[in-house]
Amino acid sequence: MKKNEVILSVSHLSKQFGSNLVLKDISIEVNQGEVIVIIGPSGSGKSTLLRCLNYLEVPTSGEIHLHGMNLHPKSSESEIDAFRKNIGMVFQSFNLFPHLTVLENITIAPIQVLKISKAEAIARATLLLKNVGLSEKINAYPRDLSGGQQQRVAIARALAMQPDVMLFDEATSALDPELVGEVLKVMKDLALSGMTMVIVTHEMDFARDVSDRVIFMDKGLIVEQGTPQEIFQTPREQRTIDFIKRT
Amino acid sequence: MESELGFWAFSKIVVLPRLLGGMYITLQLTLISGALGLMLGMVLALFRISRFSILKWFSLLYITLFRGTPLLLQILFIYFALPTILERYEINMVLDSFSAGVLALTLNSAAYLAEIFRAGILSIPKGQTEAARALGLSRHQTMYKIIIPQTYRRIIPPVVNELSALTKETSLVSVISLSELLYVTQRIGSKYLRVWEVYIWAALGYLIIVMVLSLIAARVEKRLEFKGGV
Repeated sequence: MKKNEVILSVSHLSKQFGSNLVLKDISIEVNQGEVIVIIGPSGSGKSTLLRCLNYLEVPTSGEIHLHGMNLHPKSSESEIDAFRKNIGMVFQSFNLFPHLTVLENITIAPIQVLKISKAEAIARATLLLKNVGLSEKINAYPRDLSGGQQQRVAIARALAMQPDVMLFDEATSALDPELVGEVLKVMKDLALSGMTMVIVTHEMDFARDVSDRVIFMDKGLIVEQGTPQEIFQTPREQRTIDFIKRT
Repeated sequence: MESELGFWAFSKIVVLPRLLGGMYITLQLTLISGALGLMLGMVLALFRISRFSILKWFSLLYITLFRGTPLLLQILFIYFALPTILERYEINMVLDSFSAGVLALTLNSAAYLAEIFRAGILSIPKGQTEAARALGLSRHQTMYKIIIPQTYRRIIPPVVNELSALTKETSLVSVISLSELLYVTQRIGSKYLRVWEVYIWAALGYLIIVMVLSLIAARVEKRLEFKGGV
């Protein structure tokens, strides 16, 4: 499944909020089909890094490449919009559009952005809803769904754009414990299907189970990265050891 | 002769037919300036939150001006002063009292409505914009497809408030002799010297318009509640 072909690369990315340097010269290469999990204590900059990957947060310096496209702090709005078409994002708080039905939530971006026909968008959405196990909720409104169901719809919504890379920003952190499993299962299925994923999470078992590579961040730096085996069983850096012990 | 009629007969023969005419004008003033005010108000609200500071400042200046001076003054200014100013620049604009009234009421209500719309837009959580932008929707698409539709239900109460105020403020246009409800009322009252009978009917006239308006708004609000509850 892994083609060892770099699909997304981040080079020398830094982000400063006021005088606070939250990301310090981060470089990462993500291979096609790779599942990367970013772990680290809160305030380590892992969510900021993820949000920089689709420019929800504009980095202070550095570049991001996604096959052929290149974003830097001076990129125009239309370049950013074009870039975002290829990157899906799932948020901690779901952020479904409450005034739209489940179907409309999933079809709005493909229709508005990709300009595909309504019929095709509906066909796509129907299939995706089946994959996340929510076919019967197609005409429901978000408020009628549980948190786990909302998050699964949010995943389907992002996938409807057929992105090259999916970003997950603590996708299960806002869920009741009994609802976490259903969302993780959808994410795992997605990983198995070959989707390239960058995941920020506190679910260590999931990280161990699903990821190809684990990145440990602290204080805006990548402290250590490696296979889940390496990071969880034989970490080299003291900070990583301390963090793994605590979790 | 009419002044010897009893309350009901006087109301039926003299007051109501004329007041209905006035009420019709009042209703027209309200609906036209309300509709135009809503449109202009939305434009001003979007200007106010725009990235372009010139639009922002224009909107702020406009709102400050129209909220900071009396509507009565604005009506008089537009009817009496504006044509003489325009004349200096050799623009001949004759505004009849109805158009002047509509213009003043529109410009004035737009200032208040703009702030209502702005508050509505700002009340939508930031996550909605982020989710839309992350999907690739442009700034425009995000505003018109995602954010503004979510504001409808929550701005209905303050908008109805403003439109009720507008309904009653149309009475100020009587100062430029437009025969709307209050103007007609005053005329009949002084002609027949039967003041209280006339004013009671006029009050009822305004009350009815405002109540119908509130009723329609309640219906719309209910309808939107069924649609996702936002």
